[in-house]
Amino acid sequence: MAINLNALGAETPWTRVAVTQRQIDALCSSLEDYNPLFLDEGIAGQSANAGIVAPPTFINCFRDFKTTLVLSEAEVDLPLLLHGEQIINYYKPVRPGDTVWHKIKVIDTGRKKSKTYGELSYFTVLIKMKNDRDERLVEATQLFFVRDK
Amino acid sequence: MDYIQRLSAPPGAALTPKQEGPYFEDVQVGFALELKKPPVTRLQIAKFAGASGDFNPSHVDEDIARDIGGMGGVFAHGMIGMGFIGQMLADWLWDRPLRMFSSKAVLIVRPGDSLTCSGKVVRKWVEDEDNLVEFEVFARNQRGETTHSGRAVAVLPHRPIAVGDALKQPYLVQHRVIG
Repeated sequence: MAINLNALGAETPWTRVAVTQRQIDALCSSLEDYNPLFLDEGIAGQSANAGIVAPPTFINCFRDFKTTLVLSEAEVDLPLLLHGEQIINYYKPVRPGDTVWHKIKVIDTGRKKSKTYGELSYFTVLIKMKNDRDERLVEATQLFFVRDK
Repeated sequence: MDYIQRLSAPPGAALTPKQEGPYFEDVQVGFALELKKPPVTRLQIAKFAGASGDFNPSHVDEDIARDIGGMGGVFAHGMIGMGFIGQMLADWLWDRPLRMFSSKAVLIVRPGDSLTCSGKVVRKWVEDEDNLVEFEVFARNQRGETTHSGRAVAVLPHRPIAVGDALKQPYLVQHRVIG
C-alpha cells in the first residue's frame, strides 16, 4: 500500500518538553551503555562537559505522539515501515534539566525501487530541537521506507 | 557509583572514567575503534521501545511482525545498532564533542544477533577554529554481514602550545655570508 505522498510538508507544532535524567537512564539502560558522562554527575562534572550530557542518539527519545501524527498524515501501515538512514547534526549539548523545543516535518516523499523489497514508498522527516533562547541543539533527518506488502 | 545500582547494571559494566579525551595530533588516518556487544535480546528491544516511544509492532509483537509485516518475526529497531555505534564513539571520544553522526540500516537485526561495531578514521582536517576527524563506522552481525554503515565527525583539540616552551625548530636560520 503506497503512502500518502501528499504528506510532504506536513509538520507538527513546536512542543516544549523537559529533558530528564530518567529519559537518559532509560536509553542507556536499553543500550547497555554505562558511560558515566551520561549518568554520573560527579564524574561528568569533572570532565570538559562540566555536567551530564545526553548520549549521541538521544534525539530518538522525542518521538512520542508527534511521530504518530506524522505517520498518520503519511497513512503509514506501521508493520510495513522500515528504518532507512538517520543523519544527526549536533550544535550544543542537551542536558538533563534543560527545557527544549522540538518539532518534526516531512521534507521528502516518493517511490523508489529497492533490490530487496521491490518498489516501495519512502519519506524523510526533519527533527529539530532548540532551547529556550532559540539556539539549535540537535537536528536530524530520518529516512523511512514503507513496503507495499 | 550510584548509577550502576540505579540502572541495575551488571557487575563490571561501568566504564573506567578518563582524565580527558583524545587529542587531534595523536589520531592519524587509519586509527581504528571496535566495540563488541552481547547478543540483542527481546527484553532489550522492549526497553528501547519504552525509552524511544517507538512501539512499532514490527519490534514488539511477534504475531503482527510475522503475519502482517511479513518479516518472519520481530526485529530490533534500526536505532539500537546506531546507539551501539554511538556508544563506541562516545567511549573513546569521552568529553570531545561529535559534530555529525549518520547511520544507514542495511540489514535487519534479530533477537540473538551479536553486533560488533567498528570505526576507522578516514580523514582529518581543520575547518575554521575546529580540528575535525571523520570516522567511517559499521556494525556487523555474528556472520560478518554489515547491518549498519555510516559516518561520524568529531571535534578534537590540539594540545596548547605553551609560551616559553623550547622551540622545536629555529624560527630563523642563520646563514653565513661568504664574501
